[in-house]
Amino acid sequence: MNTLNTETDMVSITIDNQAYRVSPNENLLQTCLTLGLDLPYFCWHSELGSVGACRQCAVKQYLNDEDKVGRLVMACMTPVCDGMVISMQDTQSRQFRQTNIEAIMTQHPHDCPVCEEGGNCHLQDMTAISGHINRRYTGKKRTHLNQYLGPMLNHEMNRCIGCYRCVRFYRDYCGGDDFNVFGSKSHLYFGRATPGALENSFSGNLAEVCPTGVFTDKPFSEHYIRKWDLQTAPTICPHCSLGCNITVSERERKVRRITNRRHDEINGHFLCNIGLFGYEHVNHSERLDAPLLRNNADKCSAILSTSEAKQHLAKLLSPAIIDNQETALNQQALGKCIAIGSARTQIENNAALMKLVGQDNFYLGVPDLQVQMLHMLCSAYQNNSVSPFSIKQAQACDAALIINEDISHTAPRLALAIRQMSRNLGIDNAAKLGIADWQDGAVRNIAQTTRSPLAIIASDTSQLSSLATEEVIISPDEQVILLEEIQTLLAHRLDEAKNLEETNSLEETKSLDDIETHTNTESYSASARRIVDALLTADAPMVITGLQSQDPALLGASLNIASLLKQLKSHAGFYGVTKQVNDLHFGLLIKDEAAEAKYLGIDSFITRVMGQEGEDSAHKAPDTLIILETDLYRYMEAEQLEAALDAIDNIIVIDHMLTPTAQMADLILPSGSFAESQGCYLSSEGRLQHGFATFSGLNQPMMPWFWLADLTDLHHPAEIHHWLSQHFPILAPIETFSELAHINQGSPFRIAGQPKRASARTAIHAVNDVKEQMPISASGTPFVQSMEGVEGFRQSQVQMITVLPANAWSPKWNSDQGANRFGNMSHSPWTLGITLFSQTSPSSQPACPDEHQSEQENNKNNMPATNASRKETNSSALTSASIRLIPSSNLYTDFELASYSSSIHSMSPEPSLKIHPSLAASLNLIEGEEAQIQAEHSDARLMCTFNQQMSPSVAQVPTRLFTLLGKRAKITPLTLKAKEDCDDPT
Amino acid sequence: MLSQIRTLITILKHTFTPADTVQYPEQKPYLSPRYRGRIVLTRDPDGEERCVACNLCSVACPVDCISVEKTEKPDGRWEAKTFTINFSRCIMCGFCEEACPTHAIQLTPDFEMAEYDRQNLVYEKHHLLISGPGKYHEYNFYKVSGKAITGKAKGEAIDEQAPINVRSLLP
Repeated sequence: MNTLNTETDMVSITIDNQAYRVSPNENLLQTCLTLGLDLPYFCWHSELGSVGACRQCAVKQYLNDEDKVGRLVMACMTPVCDGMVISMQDTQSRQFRQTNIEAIMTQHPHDCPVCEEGGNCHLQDMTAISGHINRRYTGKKRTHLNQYLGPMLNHEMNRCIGCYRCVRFYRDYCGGDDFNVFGSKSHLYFGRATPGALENSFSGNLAEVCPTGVFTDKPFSEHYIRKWDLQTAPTICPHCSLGCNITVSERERKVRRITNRRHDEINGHFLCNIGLFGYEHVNHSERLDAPLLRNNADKCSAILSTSEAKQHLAKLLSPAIIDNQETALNQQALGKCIAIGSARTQIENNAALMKLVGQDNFYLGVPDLQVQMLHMLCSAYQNNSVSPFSIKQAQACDAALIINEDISHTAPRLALAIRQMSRNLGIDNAAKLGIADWQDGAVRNIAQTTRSPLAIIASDTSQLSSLATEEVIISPDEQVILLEEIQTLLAHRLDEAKNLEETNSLEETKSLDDIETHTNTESYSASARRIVDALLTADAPMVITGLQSQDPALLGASLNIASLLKQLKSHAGFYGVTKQVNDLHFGLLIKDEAAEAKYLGIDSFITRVMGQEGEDSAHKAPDTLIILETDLYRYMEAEQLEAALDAIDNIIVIDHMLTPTAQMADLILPSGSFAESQGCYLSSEGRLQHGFATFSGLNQPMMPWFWLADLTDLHHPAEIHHWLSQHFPILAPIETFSELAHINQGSPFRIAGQPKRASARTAIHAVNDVKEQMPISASGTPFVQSMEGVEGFRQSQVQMITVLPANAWSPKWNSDQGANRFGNMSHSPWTLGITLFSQTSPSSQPACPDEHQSEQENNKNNMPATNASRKETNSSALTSASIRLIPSSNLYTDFELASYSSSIHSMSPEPSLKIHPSLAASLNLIEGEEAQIQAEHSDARLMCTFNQQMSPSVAQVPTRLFTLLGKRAKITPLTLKAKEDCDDPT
Repeated sequence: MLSQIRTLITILKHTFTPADTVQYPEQKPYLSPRYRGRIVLTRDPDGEERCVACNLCSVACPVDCISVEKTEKPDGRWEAKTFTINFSRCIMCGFCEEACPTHAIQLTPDFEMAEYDRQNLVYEKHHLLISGPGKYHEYNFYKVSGKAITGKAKGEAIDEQAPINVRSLLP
């Protein structure tokens, strides 16, 4: 794992008379596996550590070269030390391993043919490696009843080998408590106390963590294909903003499953359920697979061919585009053709669209407020006032402050990392006693409930609450005050540190201390002081916040805290969770040449279309609108939106799903889903990553930029990359990925998308036509949609573009777990991505906090301007009875594309209004009854549920409704209102 | 001289020996039950399909001429949604039969499959499925395997104990 180890750190060991230089920090098992030796194991997992439970990895250790007797040791429990002499191949240890697996297999049911794990099974691999062939046991097998574990996992307890990996993962690693081990000896049972869906958002990983088929992927089972038939390519998860690396597996143009692709900086070994199961939109019946032209006269739509669609597009766009160019020439900013970009498509597509319509006519497909916040994040990253951490760094930090972001739902993989981060203090304690971090059982025993400092400031409790050392549950308004206190305290400390440097006089600091302690007791709350103390005692503290609250003031304050912290502690970091897979790059696409930046989001788009009072009438009304992969109905109230859309003559939608927005279009152009298109994504830590297409699209493999290519004159991703780096220098590293231009069909460096053993080649299409088809050719990608080319696991040896592991297979290691033996083997940008806001640059930034302060003030001043309509009416129309709303995020409902998956949809909770009983009492709300929520633009009806833990001055609504309703609303019990309504007409 | 006479005798002798060739198609040769001809899908003794769509025949096939797609019946059995053999590619090697863990796929002594149109050599599941158990009369995969199906609960397979009561405190 530690590939960065220098030669001097290495020790030499001898395995079967062969000398190796290895890292001393690992256990012997991991060392053997990294060296590529085939040593069987079950209970060990490189992320979960060793417990020495399965006794499978026995090897023989000798005292020295003279010792010929030796002793059996468990490799996973043995630290590597200098001059170690080991044998894996001697008869005794081989026999031990073989007998052990024979014992394990006595209870294994005879059901490999009907097991989804077959061909992808660690137990099969290990049995083959250890050489056990013949079953000698003639007794009866123990059996177990299965449980229903929800829509994502099948349960088949007969197959269990009792390695305990599942409980260690689910309980110890993910913090779940609805799953456990019951019974003892051969009666062991891994399951829930009562059947029911597993609650943890990482439960899907059990399918991979289990070395055999006890837990198998249920949605995969519904369209099951053996692993050797799956065609794979590496790409980026299309849901939340963390940019986890995934491998998409496909057969017959249907996505069959998604597996984790190990990236040690980001997702490591695990993906959340959204990432694992949120792919069904690709196979969905509402997929758009052909261009559609609305025919209003006949009230139907015509299916067009690609060339017809391109002609139509040109016909609709050309006059408007010419107009746009003219206006641009005449220094008039606004033209007739406008476009809305997408936060879920690849960067190239937005760039092409932006070039087509011009930057002033290009609106970003998120609300204005979000654009503003994204810009705040990006400018903070760019001027280096905060250092964005990777998830791995977040896991390694020693104190964290989470501000108003429910990361368990908005960025689950980050929450899992923070869960591990809270163990760091315990691991350090163990290290002081000389116990290595991979000694999982011992470390946990020493740590007990020791937790690294984790402070959470939020309006409601979250899944991480149980780990928090300091949790402050207050309303957003109070949060601003608390954050200001923390800022002032940090600023004090900074001054103090500076003074110390400058004067170095003892007396003065003493008096300063006195002053500070005096002021502290007077004006700051105890929690603010405790948080600051915890952050400042740490070496690498970090601040985590996000866009969930849609509150620029809070984000500004959080950025300020992170920036102050960075000046005090050079290793301090920051993580800003954004909302969609690719929305951070919007923050970079903002033109701020003038004093104030323009935040062109969806609100601005509505204002532009509906026209604003006071604007000159000569101003051209837009008549053509291109909407790229955005469902506007998720952000705007239907009435308001439809009024705007009605004002536009031609609406062109480019999307892959028939969203409500697409239903409003005159011309729909299909685009490829994440599995069918390749391009770049920018994750919320500022990591630019490239995803590859697993297969080409249904009928017309069209990327949105490709539809526009004739009009934009950008015919190749490389040209788009070049245009981008010219206009947005910060995005210049994207040109690294233009290298693909040189990959063509004849390249010797092609990678086989299918494994060598892919089957049914001459039969699968024979029913339609017995003559075999040519393999599908796709240029611009190194992945061939056939078994021709270099095998995935050999890529690194021959491939100039190394994207390991495309195909988690190597000889003898058929299961996906085999690929996890090694870490990221390649350091190419294709595998690791490019961090745009590199942290290696010097962190000396003068007067940064002042800048920030002013920026924040600016924001505060700007806010009413940018969001004028909402704010004004808030103060006027809604009386003091209006309640501050906060979003209640939920993993299973918040992500647009994921909710097309039936397994994920069925896990989403009923939408409800969560409210503190005391507030409910003052509003006459009754639990379990509906309430009317009346905001300025829209209203909603929700069931009331009471929540004792949350802040008593706010009300929680589902995130989607929060986006529509805004920050304040009047809440009345529906029963009363209904009564009034009934009374009125009579 | 001598050799010429020997040749004549040999030829004359062969004139009176019975011929090895038979008058096919009027006369059919004997083919052993293990002859590798047309492939069939058999049923278990209870009349249920033996094929569990495990894909092992498909992956064993050296010419990749078998395509199987899995589906699951409501009773819990796996079965083939589609099962296609492209006999225009098949080399009758019998690897599929060897690979089959449930004795479902079997080669029969029938070899008369010639067609004028290649497309007719593509056999689908209903062409392949026969009503009997073929060469193996007794074998029933689900009676041996630990997977529960309707009519055979956990612990009812051959050599299985009754399911463990997890809530019992007895040792």
